[in-house]
Amino acid sequence: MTALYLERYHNFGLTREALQSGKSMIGIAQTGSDLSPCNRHHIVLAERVREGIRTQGGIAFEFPVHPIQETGKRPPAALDRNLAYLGLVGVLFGYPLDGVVLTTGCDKTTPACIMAAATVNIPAIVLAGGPMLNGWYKGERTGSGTVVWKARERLAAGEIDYQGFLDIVSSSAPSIGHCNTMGTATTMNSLAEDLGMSLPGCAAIPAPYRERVQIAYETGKRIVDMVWEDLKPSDILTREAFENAIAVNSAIGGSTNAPIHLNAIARHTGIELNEDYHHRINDPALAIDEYCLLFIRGTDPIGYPGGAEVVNMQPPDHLIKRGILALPCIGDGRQSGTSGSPSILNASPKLRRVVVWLCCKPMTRSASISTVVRPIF
Amino acid sequence: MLQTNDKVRIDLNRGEANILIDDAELEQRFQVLAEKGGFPIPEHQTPWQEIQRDMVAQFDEGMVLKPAVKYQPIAQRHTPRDNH
Repeated sequence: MTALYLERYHNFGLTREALQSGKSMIGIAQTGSDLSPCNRHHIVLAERVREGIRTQGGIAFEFPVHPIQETGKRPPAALDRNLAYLGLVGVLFGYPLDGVVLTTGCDKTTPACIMAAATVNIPAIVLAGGPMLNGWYKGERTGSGTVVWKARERLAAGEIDYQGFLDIVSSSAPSIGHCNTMGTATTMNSLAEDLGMSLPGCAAIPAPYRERVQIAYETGKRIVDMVWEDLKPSDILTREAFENAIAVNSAIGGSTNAPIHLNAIARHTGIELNEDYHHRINDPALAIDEYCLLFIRGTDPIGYPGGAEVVNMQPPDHLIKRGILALPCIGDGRQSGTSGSPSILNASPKLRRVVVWLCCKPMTRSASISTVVRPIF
Repeated sequence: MLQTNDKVRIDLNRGEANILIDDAELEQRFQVLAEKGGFPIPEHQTPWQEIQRDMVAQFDEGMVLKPAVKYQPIAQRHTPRDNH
C-alpha cells in the first residue's frame, strides 16, 4: 500500500524522502475558481498558505472543492452546500491528509467546509478570503446585495434606465473578495472565527489587504502545529463554542441563514441546537440598556471596509417602548445606507485586534433570530 | 393549502406560524390536495437535485443530508489511516 500511496505523488516532483519523512501532509481545500469569483482570491492566498505549511515542516496538497457561487448558480446555490460537503468528506477521508486548510468566502462555502471537517474530524482550520472593498456610485456607497434592491426600485420608479441599473449594481463589486455587507458570507466567516475554527481576526480583513495574505501564511503555519497537537474539530466545536457563535450572530445582526448553517455544523458534530437553545441564549435577563455601546473588531478609516456591520441591530424591546430606537455603534464606515443607528466612524485602527463585540451586557432579546419551527401545514 | 383571505397568526416569541382555519376545513383541503397528487414538486433537472430533495432535513434541522449525520467522526471510527 505504501508503494501505491507514494508512486504517483512523485510524478510532479515530490520526493520519497519528503513523503516518508514523517512530515505532516496538509490539504488546502481550494474553493476558488473562475466560476466562484468571491473565493477566487484563494488561488493567490494558497501560495502563502503553502509557504506557511512548509515553514512549519509540512507538505501541502492543494485540491479543488465543488464551486459554490451564490450569484452565478441556478437553480440557487442552496442545493450546493450539501454537495460540496459530500465531496469534501470523500476527499478528507479517502486521501492521506493529516490536516486541512479550509478556504472559505461566499456564503455556503464556509458551512460546507466546516461540516465536512466535522464529519471526518481531522485537524482543520478556516482561512477566509475576506470581503471586497467598498463600492461607490456617484459619491454614494453601494453595498453588496442591498444595492440591487435599491437600484431596482429606482429603475421601477423611472429614475434610471436599464444601463444605469447595471452600472449601479456593477459598482458594488470593485475588488476581489466576497460580499462586504453583513450578508451570509461575512456572517459565516465571522461565526467560523467565533467558533474557534480560524485564527483570531481572520474574518474581517478585506481581501485585497496585505494582512489577508499575511494571515494566509500564519494559517498555514498553524495547521501544521494543530496536527502535532492533534487538535481536531471535535475539540473545538463544543456546545460552548456554538453558544458563543449564536451570541455573536445576534450581536452582529448576522444573516438569517446563520441559524440553518450553525444547526447543520452542530448536527455533524453531534450537538443538537434546537430552538429552545436559541431562546435561552436570548434570555431577557441579558438585555442591554441604553448606556451600551456596540463595539466590533475591524473598525477602519472612512472609505474602507473592516469588520462586521452591526448597525442593523435592533435595541431591546423595553428600550424601543421608551422611544430609544437605536444604540450607538462603533461601526466600520461601510454601512451602505442600510443603517438606522448612529455610528461612530473613523475609530482607531488599533481596534482591529480588539476581540470585543459588545462592551456591556452581551445580548438583547430582540436581536435574536428565530425560525418558524412548526410548519403551517 | 393557504388560500386568499385565510388568516395566519405569527407568534415571533414562540417561533410559530399557524393557519387559523378549523380542523374540518383543513382536513378537506388535505383531501383535495391528495386527490391532486400531493404537494407539487418541481421536476428534477439533475441527479443531485433528486438526491438532495429525497434526503434533505427540515429548515430548523439545518437542512443537512439526513443519512449523513450518523457519520461522525469517521477518521477515528474506521481503520486508522497510516498516511506515511
